Amino acid sequence: MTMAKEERFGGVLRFRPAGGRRWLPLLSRIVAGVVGGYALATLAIASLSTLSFGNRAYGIMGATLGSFAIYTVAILWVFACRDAWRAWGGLGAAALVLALVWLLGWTLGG
Amino acid sequence: MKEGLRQSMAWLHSWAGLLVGWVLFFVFVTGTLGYVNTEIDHWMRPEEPLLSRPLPPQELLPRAVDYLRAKAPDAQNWYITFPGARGNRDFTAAWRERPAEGEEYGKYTRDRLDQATGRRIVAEPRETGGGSTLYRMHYELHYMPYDWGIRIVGICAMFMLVAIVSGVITHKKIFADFFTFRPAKGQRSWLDGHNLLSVAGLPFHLMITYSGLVIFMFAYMPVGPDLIFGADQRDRFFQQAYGYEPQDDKPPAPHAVLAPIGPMIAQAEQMWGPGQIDRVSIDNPGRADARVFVSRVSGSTLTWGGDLRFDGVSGKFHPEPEKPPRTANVIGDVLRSLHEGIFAGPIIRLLYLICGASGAAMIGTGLTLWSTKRKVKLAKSGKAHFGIAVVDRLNVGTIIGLPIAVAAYFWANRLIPVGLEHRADWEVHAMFITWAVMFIYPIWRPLPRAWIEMCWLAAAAFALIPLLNALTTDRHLGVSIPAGDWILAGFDLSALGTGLFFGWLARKLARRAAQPAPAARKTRSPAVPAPQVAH
Repeated sequence: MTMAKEERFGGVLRFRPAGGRRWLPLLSRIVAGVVGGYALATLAIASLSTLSFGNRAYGIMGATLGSFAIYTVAILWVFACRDAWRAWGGLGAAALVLALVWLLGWTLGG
Repeated sequence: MKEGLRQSMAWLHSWAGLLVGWVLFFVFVTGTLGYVNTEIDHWMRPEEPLLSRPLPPQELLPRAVDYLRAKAPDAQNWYITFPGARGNRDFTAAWRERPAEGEEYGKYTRDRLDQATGRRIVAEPRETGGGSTLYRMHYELHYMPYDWGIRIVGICAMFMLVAIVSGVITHKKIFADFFTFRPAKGQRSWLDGHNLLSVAGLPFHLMITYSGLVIFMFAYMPVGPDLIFGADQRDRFFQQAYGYEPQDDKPPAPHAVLAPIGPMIAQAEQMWGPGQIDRVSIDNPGRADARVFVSRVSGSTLTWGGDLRFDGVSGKFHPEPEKPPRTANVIGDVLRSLHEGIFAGPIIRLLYLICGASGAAMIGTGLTLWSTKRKVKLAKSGKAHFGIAVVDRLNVGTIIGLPIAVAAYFWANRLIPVGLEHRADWEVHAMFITWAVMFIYPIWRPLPRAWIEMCWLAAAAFALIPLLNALTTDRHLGVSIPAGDWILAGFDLSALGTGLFFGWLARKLARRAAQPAPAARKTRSPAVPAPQVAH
């Protein structure tokens, strides 16, 4: 456990250009957090706003208000994961759930 | 695993904070000054009369109405503002003409009127950006298009939000840390100070960051309106979300005599109490569909003050149709007004200033902590590090350099000739040229010396402002205090206080540099001196 930590944060804290491809997982995480997180927040707005039946504009207002919290949680998740693959996996799972909500909301009348 | 989480959050906290810390420091400093923008405006226009007790609206109203009748009898709107409320020191009459064929809006004119005579005041104060320019910089930056500015600030605010939350997770002993301050212990003191500032101000920092994002949320997260209504249909989206009635272009209604407005003001005063009327707006004066809105000064409720609506012909009170309250809209409005502090009276406004300054101090201590921590680590290996040297220079250039640049902005206001063309622009240029110099200066100096010398410069730049004011205007402390103009006097005294603070900081840093280094610092010192690091 301690070894794994050392490796994880040793690689993360100091950029070593000559140190092989240690920067690749970090880059992957940064892309997952910044781009993936934004995409997730966007998807959350699209899907959650369908839950306010009747007035779509009002649903958008509420979902957009909350989207920054979702973005933040996504970024924290990505950097808290043990490895970059898990980070992407978690984002994908959340996206899947949101997509289902979207589908549900859409068919139920959003 | 728990330790792993805290460690990864600490990593995220320090890098998210570092990458945008300098921009965030700028945003917090200029934004904090934005809470006193109209007070700064007043100081930066010394030609304006000293604050005096304004005449009551009942007395001023007929003068404004007479003026508007003579100037614009058939305007689309009249606007009358009464002096007295914060930031509303002028008695003004303004009007918007009916739009010409093919135009969306008619021409808008605003005149300041003499309270006693109701005649137009012709003399204009000097051209200045005032406090409002500083305030605008905190969200749109400067020297770049507005759309870029707000997005850059938005990205930085998102980093800030991540840094705040990850910082909280890092500190599991968050409440214990709050009561822990070990002064004069080098890095440990910086860390304690950073924790104290962060934890004490946490609700404010969270609120100000999140609400800042919310203000521009449809610029940052445009998907909602764009998805449903299309990118060019923003108006329709806001109409539906807020329940506005669509405005159609109706032909002007037939002429009708405007009802007297005095009784409407009296009715409003009866409801709100004296001194609560901020302005009166009249739609379609002199027409059958005339409406009169009497608006309350902000500060009475959490969001905007609120209007009373009257029929402009019968003079009867004509309440707005009730709209069902919508939680999300209310949350959005409350967040916005919390961010702007529009409801804040003097005490709350002072609290806002303190919180904003503590936010800047939190960012500043965080930035210095980043390099201090790494220097301790590097000292063990005895290596100098170019990246840390750059961060160190950027830190002092921002944390002390920016306040000096702000002082230069105020100096420029007094020293640039009044008649100069683009004078307001040059005030801003003076600020940014000074700031640029403050980034260059520490490159040539040993780092601790650069901190101390720039602190002294900041001390002088602020403490001498009252003297500069006395030499260049007749609005100095000897005049403003006896006249009871505490806005003007407050500015001079705050500048003096800021100068004293930087003097205190300079002495403190000088004493620390002169001290025989404690054991911990001795090991660090090889990495600290600038020349070895910089070259």
